[in-house]
Amino acid sequence: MKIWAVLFWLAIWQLGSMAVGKAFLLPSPWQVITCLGDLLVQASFWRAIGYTLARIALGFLSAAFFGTLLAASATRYRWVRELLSPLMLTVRTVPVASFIILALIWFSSQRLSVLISFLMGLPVVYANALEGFDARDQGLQEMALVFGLPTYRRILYIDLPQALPALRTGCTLALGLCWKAGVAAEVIAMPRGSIGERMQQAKVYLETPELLAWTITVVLLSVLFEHLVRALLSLLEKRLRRL
Amino acid sequence: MELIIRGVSKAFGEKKVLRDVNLTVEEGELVAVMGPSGEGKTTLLRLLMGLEKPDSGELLGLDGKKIAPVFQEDRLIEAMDAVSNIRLVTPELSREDVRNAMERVGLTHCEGQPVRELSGGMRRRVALLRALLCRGELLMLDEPFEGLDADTKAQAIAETLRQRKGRPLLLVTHSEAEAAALNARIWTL
Repeated sequence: MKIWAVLFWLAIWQLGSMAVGKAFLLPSPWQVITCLGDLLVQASFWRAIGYTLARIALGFLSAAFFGTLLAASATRYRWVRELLSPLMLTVRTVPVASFIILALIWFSSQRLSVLISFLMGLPVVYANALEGFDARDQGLQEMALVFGLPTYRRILYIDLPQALPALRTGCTLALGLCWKAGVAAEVIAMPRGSIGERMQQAKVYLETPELLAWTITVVLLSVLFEHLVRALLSLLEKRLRRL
Repeated sequence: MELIIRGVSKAFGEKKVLRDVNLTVEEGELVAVMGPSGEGKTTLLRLLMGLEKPDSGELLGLDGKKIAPVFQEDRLIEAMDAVSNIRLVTPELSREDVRNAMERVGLTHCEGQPVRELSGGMRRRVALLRALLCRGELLMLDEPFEGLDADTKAQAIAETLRQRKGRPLLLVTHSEAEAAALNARIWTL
């Protein structure tokens, strides 16, 4: 991303805000940054980040783990692939709002963002991991078979490294969805102490600068978390290359 | 126990690749499988490796035996270095042990380098060492010296003899000189 492009869009935002002239409709970038600065010194700001981050991370990591595991099983057993196909299609196509409302009936709002992040991430990780596993080199599979490589070594050092590029794409896509859907679920369910609750309160009191400050916070958290996940996957890839 | 191939036939669709093949490999024997291209030498090895099933006939003496193969292609993990490729199938060897064997076949100064960056001849030697150093009871080598120059081929053959340790060896080759250097019985398909 180029700095000049960011500055250009900030200038457009500033001009739009000046044209509107009402902070509760469209605050200026400076008002939002000032508000974010005020939030940064509040303990409740960091508690809300911790609350939401922990739940979305848990949802995402569960989706990444089970998505990969199920994809590995579906690669090995055709019946698993056939069994999961309608389920994954359903989870992928049902509107997230339907899941949120159903989940609110079945579970407490405290756990909602974990479940929603998991449900949004699972089919994406699964589909990408499946694509990665399907593209495995059959020659290497035969090599592993003839040498009598134990299953865990085959999965760790042959299958997983080949699936990692697709898995990395899946995780990146899933992570974006987890943050969007997870925070949306919090805005609807308003679990106490979450980012979603703070955003909903800012909306109710027409504190638009605070609403945008929280939005920027969520975007930054999402980007940072994505970099962390990518770095961990690169580390794993490197580790699996040396024996 | 000896390895017996009795009346084995194999076809792929309409194409008959092997017809009524019979061969006995005695315990510890070295056999060079020779014959024109497309006559089924690789298919025969694939049958013995359990990667294909014969249409008819019997393969005896393979039950529970670990095979040490060199495939027609190198079949290496491209992102790994040579030492890791070898240790993948033989984790009990230290990196030092593998390095010493690599030096004997002229594979030096390539540690840490992914095998995708190595020349064809170097990759072939990595594939050969991977088979020789593993604890397979039956060596099945499909043109393992392909693409090697005279000097490195001599080193590779010497290392094959050194590492064979009395194990039976089936070698697919087009070269009578290779068979002679290994003191192998020539069997023509």
